Amino acid sequence: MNKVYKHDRYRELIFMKRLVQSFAFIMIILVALTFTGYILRPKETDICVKQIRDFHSLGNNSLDAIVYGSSHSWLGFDAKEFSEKTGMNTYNYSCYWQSFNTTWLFFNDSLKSQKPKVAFIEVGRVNDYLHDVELEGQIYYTRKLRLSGEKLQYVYQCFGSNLEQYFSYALPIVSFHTKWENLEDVFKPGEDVDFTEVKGQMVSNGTFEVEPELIGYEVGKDDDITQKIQMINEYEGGEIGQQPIREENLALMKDIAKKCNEKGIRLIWFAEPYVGDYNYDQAMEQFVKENGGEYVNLFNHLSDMNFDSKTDLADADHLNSSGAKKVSDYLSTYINK
Amino acid sequence: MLFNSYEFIIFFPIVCLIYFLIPKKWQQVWLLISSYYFYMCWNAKYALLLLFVTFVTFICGKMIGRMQKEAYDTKNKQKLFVTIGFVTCLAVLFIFKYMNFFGSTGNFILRKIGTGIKFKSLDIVLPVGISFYTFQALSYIVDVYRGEVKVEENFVRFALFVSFFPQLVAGPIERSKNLLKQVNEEHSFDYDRMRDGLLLMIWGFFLKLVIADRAAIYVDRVYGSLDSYGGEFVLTAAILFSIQIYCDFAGYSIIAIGAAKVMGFVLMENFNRPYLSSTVGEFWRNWHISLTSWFRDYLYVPLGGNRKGKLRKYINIMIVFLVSGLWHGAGWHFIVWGGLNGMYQVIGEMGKGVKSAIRNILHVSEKSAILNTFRIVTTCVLVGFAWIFFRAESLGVAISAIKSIITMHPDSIISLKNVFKDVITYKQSAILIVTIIVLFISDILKKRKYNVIDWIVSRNIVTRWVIYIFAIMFIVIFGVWGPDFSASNFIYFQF
Repeated sequence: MNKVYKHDRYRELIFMKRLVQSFAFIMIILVALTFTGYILRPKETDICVKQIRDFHSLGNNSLDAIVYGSSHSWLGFDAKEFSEKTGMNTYNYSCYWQSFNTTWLFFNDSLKSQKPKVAFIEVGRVNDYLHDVELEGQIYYTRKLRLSGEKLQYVYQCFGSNLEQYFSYALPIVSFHTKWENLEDVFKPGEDVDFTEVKGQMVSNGTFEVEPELIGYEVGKDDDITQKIQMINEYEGGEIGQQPIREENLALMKDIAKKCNEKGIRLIWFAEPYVGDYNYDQAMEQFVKENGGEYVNLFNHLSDMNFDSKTDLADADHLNSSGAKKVSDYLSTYINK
Repeated sequence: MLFNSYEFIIFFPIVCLIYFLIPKKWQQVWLLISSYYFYMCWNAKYALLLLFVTFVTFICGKMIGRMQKEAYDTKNKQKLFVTIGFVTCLAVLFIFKYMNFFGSTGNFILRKIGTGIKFKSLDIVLPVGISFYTFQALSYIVDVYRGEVKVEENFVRFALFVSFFPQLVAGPIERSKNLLKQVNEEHSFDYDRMRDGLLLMIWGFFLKLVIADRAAIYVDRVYGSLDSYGGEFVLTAAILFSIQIYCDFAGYSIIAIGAAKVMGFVLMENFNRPYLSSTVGEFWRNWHISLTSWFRDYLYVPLGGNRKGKLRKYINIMIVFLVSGLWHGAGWHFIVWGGLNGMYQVIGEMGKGVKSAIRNILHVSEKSAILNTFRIVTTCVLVGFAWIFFRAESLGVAISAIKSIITMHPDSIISLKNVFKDVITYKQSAILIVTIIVLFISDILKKRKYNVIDWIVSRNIVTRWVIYIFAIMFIVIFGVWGPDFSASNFIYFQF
């Protein structure tokens, strides 16, 4: 009897040992896959990962105003200037490439740790919606956002039924393992920027050099920029006109408006000036009328801002630090009205 | 569902986990459900075809078994049920696989004759694995008829024998003597067995993802645009295809054997270092062993084998290889491929005396290493030449490829170093060459009866784990998979 008991005990011990070994082995493999995925990651997103990390390092409920949006607002809103002018502690929580559902996710992520009084949401890409796509720049850096219902919803919006992409999101090596051929730029962590210093803004001191096809159309010099943009578009054979915002994004916008309403956040949608066609002015007016909030189209206030296309643009799509300051100054005046 | 798919990564552990957790009496039912699910992931409707073949062969087996118990001679009646089983299964195979081929061949002949008659082609998809499971089911009927296995009275167990998911769609074509017996056994979890099975699966994935699918990039590009590439590229593609098909099919078989092993099943070996064979005959004894032995046992031997004189033996070899060609695909290029392989063996058999005389004149020993190397290289060249017909989409394409190689300008040999980098990157070709070398080292070790897996598992835990982790990471990083590539089918799925 005792012998049988000892034998069973021995077997049990062996089983436990192997179970622990198997678990440890799986863990090591996962760590190795994660580490390799990190080495082979898309390096251009490092700066955005830093932006998210720095935002998360801020104290809870330490912000009065937060700016959300794509690179238009990331480069084009000087949160430091805005803070000084208004006395509101402001942070620019925008990032590169953001389609509107990514901005929506950033908005929701920020509310996990902050209770802002004002939310500025930039609408340059208000009609862009990521769906049925592969893991790339902006989706990749959203991995660093906190896990939440909205994040799962966002991932579902992006990947739909593509199982492979969910694996990729969890273990980026699935998508990026082929990058072993281009290992030249392995370590570019983008750690040299401290976003808490500049309150989240991506500062650019570049100056827009007019591209050959734009010569003769000096943005905002003598005339309304929208008219100039229209001329540029006509010159390029494109079309300009007002367009509706897609249903999916309207739903996300309504969700933002609802949450702001519930939490007592003043919601301001705004369009940044750039050389390109902004087609959602009417749609935004309509949305604000129906769902509340405010809307500022800066294309219509270039002279009020004292905007100069020769000194305020970093490139055709983005403002430089001078332009960003003018936007912040204008909006600080607007908010104090 | 492909082995190299995300679905399988989820499917397999779940199946195994539940398999070992549920009461043993439910294991067979669970595996049967899993196997049908595995098959239905590809096309749910065609599971009915699988069920139909299973049902017919089950009934035929049962009837044969019942008659064997009778006191009087029932041989003729038994033969009738063997015939019913064969005709039904082969009719299914004919309709789904060969109807359009014979129809188009008939149309070609009728057009030449000048009649206005034309067969309509059927718009049907070839059911995955149909050639494999019909052959497996047929072997059962013959084995029962021959009295080599007992009749299976339980339909669930028999259905599992026909549809066991690791080997359902591309073999190995198991014999009832081996697999049916195991289906009837209960299987408990065994750590060492699981580890060995997983190691086999890792090796199979290495062959498929790292070698076969990388070689496929080159081969597909060249064969996809033969006119754009010179003879040296076509020659390289032909050589690489020989390696691709080996790694693709052996990879599948090894993953299947490994997956089955995890669950406690032992499947037959399907490849035994075929490219180190000294003759084409030996090559075929080491290549797709389950099919070659199937043809030997159920076609070659019943035709008379080598028992009815030399001429009859040669005819039998040719019949077997022509049928084997047709089994592989409904196309004349497959038949030519089969015919070539048959012809190699017949010529080899006929020339035995001449070869022996030459050896005597040259005073070369039978066991000479140089002679052996020469034989291996010759076998590889002959088999590789035949593979050109196998890979080409038609006879015309195969002939164009051969012409391109034959008319290759001698100067292009100098540019051989460029044949890789002009089609795939330098780094990709470096990985391909290194891994092919690893493959051949492994085959040489196998030929020398050296078992690498045994060596690995006998190391201490640190060495073992370093090897495991290195192997997994190597496959993950250098494997051809992921969003940039659609999970590529195993070549033999189409058969």
